[in-house]
Amino acid sequence: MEILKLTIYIPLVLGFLALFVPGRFFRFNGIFALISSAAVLVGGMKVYPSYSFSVMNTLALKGDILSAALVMLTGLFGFLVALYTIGHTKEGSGFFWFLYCWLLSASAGVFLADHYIVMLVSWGVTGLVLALMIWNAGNEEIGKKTFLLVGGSDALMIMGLAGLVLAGHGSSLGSVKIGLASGASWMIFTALAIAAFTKAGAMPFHTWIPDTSKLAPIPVVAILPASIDKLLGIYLLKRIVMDWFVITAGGNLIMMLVGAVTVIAAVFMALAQHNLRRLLGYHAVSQVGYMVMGLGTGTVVGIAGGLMHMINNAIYKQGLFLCSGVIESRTGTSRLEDLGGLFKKFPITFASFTICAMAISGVPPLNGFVSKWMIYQGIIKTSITGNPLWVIWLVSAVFGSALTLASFIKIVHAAFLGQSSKGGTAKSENVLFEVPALVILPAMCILIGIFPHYTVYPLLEQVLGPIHMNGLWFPQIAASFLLIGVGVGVLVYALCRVSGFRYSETYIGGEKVTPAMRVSGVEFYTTIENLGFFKKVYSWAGKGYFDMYEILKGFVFYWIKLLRWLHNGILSTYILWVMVGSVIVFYVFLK
Amino acid sequence: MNILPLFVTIPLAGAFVVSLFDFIKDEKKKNISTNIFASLAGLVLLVISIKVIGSAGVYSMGKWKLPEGIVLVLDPFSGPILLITNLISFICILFSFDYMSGYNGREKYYSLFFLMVAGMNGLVLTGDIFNLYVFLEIASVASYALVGFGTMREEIEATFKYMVLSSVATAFMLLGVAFIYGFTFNLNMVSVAKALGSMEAPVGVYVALGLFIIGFSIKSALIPFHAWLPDAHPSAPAPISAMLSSVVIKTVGMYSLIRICYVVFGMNTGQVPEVLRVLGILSMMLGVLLALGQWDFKRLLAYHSVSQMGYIALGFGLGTPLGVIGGIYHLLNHSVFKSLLFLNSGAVYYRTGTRDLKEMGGLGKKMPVTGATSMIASMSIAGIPPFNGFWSKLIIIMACIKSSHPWLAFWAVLGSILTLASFLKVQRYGFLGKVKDSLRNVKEAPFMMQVSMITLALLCLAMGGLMLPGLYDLIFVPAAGIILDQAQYLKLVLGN
Repeated sequence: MEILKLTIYIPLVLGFLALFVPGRFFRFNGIFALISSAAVLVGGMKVYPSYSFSVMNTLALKGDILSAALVMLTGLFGFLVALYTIGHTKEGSGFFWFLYCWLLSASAGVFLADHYIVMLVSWGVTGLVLALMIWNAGNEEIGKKTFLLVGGSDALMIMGLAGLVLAGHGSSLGSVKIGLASGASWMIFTALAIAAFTKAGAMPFHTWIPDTSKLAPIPVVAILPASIDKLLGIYLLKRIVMDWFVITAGGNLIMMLVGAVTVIAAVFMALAQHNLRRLLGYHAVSQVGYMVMGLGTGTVVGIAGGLMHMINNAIYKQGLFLCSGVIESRTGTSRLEDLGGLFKKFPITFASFTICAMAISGVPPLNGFVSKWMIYQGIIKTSITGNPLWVIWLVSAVFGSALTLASFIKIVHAAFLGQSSKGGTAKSENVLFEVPALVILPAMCILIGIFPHYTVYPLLEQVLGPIHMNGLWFPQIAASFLLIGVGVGVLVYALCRVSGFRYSETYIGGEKVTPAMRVSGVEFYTTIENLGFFKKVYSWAGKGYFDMYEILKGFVFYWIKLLRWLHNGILSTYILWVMVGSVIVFYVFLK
Repeated sequence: MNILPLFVTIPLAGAFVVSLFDFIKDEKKKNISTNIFASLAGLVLLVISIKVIGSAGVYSMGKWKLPEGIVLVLDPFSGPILLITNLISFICILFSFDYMSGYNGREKYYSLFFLMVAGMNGLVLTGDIFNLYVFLEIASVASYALVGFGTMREEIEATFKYMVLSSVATAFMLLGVAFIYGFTFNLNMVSVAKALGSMEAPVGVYVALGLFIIGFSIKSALIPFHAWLPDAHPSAPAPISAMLSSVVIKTVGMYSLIRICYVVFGMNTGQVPEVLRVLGILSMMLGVLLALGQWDFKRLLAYHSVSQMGYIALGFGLGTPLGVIGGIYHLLNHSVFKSLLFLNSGAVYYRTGTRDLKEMGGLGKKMPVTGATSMIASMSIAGIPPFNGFWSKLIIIMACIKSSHPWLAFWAVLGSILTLASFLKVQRYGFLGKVKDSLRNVKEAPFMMQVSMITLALLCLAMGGLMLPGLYDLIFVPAAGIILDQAQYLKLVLGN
């Protein structure tokens, strides 16, 4: 009972109290959120490595080592984002903090759920909280789209879990494992997979993420689509493929396909973005593709890579969004063309962003590299089945990684390097509220990257068994070489006295240099946007042709138009309907 | 003393007594007196409904014994329906205090209101088929008058359509009653059930069954028999819209259909459930599509009533204990969240004078109680956990899968997603976003309206508690038992 209080009840109670804190004491709400996060973090540690809790003689919560770790991560992310948000919070934010605390509780509920009702309710609350947070910030249209996709997939999850429980024995989610043999089992599998894909943001159910990333407040984006939603979605996918179903080759093929398309299509969309937050949003989608591919390999190393990538992605993606928040709060914009030269004003943000950017791009020795390396190995291992498609999956994964690097070079160039933009404030990062997250998250990227055997591997091996890798990768040695290389570079720089340089005005043939002549970091990439095929595809994407939400909307409204035509308001028409219906009913009874 | 007759006599007497308040000349005093009288009568009905929940009993009217006499029967199916009817009635009376200030003739309004309640209570309790028909007509005629209470063109037109199509329904039912009498020489439910059980059913019995199904389907507004509802429900004053959508179509429609077809005819397998399933899916899907295209807040809600009745029909149509429990549970839940939504629309109309969602915007800021309660109701009807609609939809979906109808579960889920889309539209255009300039001076609804809405919103949250084993076993399991096992009903009425 004590442990349950820590992880579930404390955030619920404190969140409720946040609603009643008087306006001028609004920062207390943030403290409630910090305490809630700490409670979840400590609760996760307490339930580690295993845990179970019953309500009315029915097993309600049961945590294994992975779920305990995810609860801890939820607490950590919650703490860092809460700290960041306190620095930006305003009077009247009680409702936001109420939602924030409840989100932490519900997320812990999902990770620890054993009873299907606990799972459904906790899962549903996370989706509802996301929508309410977006609406609370005044973005009603984005909130509507987000909740329709996320809430709609929740409805499918109800069907999936209902079917799963009925196929098993009792209400426990731990007592069921079904094969993909019948149409009904495929239906249940598909419903659950769609729920997982939508929450995590895999294509084609991803379209809420770029919009939310661009327009929702940074704390909302950093805590949900950037981190906790990924943990939730991929954790569910892990339970689907490992705990609840015996996945066939067909099931794996679908996941590999979804993963590969997500990686490539989203990264191409990211390349063409001019808004920092929207660009990061597309990467939040693209990275999910790696996780789905990892789990879809069906191999131990691939699944371990997918799960590790889930954790890694949550860390660096949260770091990236918080950095973008720092930039936006000072410059008042996240349009890349309007940014530039910020590394001098915000050195910590620059360092933090660069490390996270390298991590997401899979640059060694950072954490993103380790997990991608494992996913590549998992894909290669699928070649033993004789299926030649592994080459396509591998090329997609590697190519996606290269394009990720390209698009992050674009951001680093456009925002931090290059010529300075005018306007905004030069107020440096807040040491108490902003810096902790900007330091801890990149530090985690480095530590996990260099010491995977002491951080994430033991956890994954307890879940999956021994992880055998064929490739040669010694992270500590590699990191040492890298450090030596950087050290030599610094030495050369110091010895050559490169400091003897001067700044000069820009000279363009004697013309007066106006702000319009400023070269932005995004110019280079407009070439891709204007290439014949890509131009067409980007134009279609802009019109919503690939947006599941827009496609379904068009389909639904076609039917509505037809039905409204039939409802002409004339009584005799309605009586005719009654008569036709009556004839059919009589036919059924008298045939 | 057996209190069953009080469910009919209190509202019936109340209807006549409240009309006498017309003698009070001072309009203000008259309004206050009628409000106090109506709310007290409503409260008494609510209290005795709570008192009888979970119990069963039979009352012979005029001490005439069966098979000649008419009995009132309280069984596990009628108990919850009685409670929800009187609960919603009481809350709608409280809402009417301020809302009806825009109308004349409050004593006439309450008089008709109580006639409608008397009709519903009577038909829920009666153990006689003809008696059921009579009570149904009482409730219906009162509701025709209430729909047209505003006496404007639109309201009169809606009433006219409602009355004509309802007349078709009642004509079918009366013909069905005649057929039954022709074959069994009795109209008492237990006697008819026994007679039908002991004979090889002739074709005429199936004709009667068809007539009842069509009649009650019109009353339940199942597609394609629904066309009266989208005009009638929005045209009525908001508390009446709430009553019509949340309890009237349930009692005079679905409850009566199940009582006659399942309990009396004992046809809980075969064609009847099949027809119910088809009508259910059609209503669920087409109703919600039609709702999505609406911009009139109340008309949108009316189409959702059609859609949600589809869920209830689907639950009953599965013919399994779990399905029937899902049907009853969703019936109760729908009564609560749909009445709340209609009261929300009433509160908005009361303050802004519009039902057009395009003319609204940001009302959640100006009317926080209305906004918050409408959000709760919207999430409930969309089946978002942990609100009440989620639990009953979950049971219906589980029942579909358990009875080997996974595709029906799929349609139910799809309907739920479209319902969510529709209510996100309501929230997006009505309550969220920036406040329109024309609505800057809008105030929150009056106190009693707020009390009504908050009560229903709390019920939306609390009714998930009916899933707890103690309450589930007390309310739903016996109800499903009596619906699916005719012998239990016979035993209850006739004794051992």
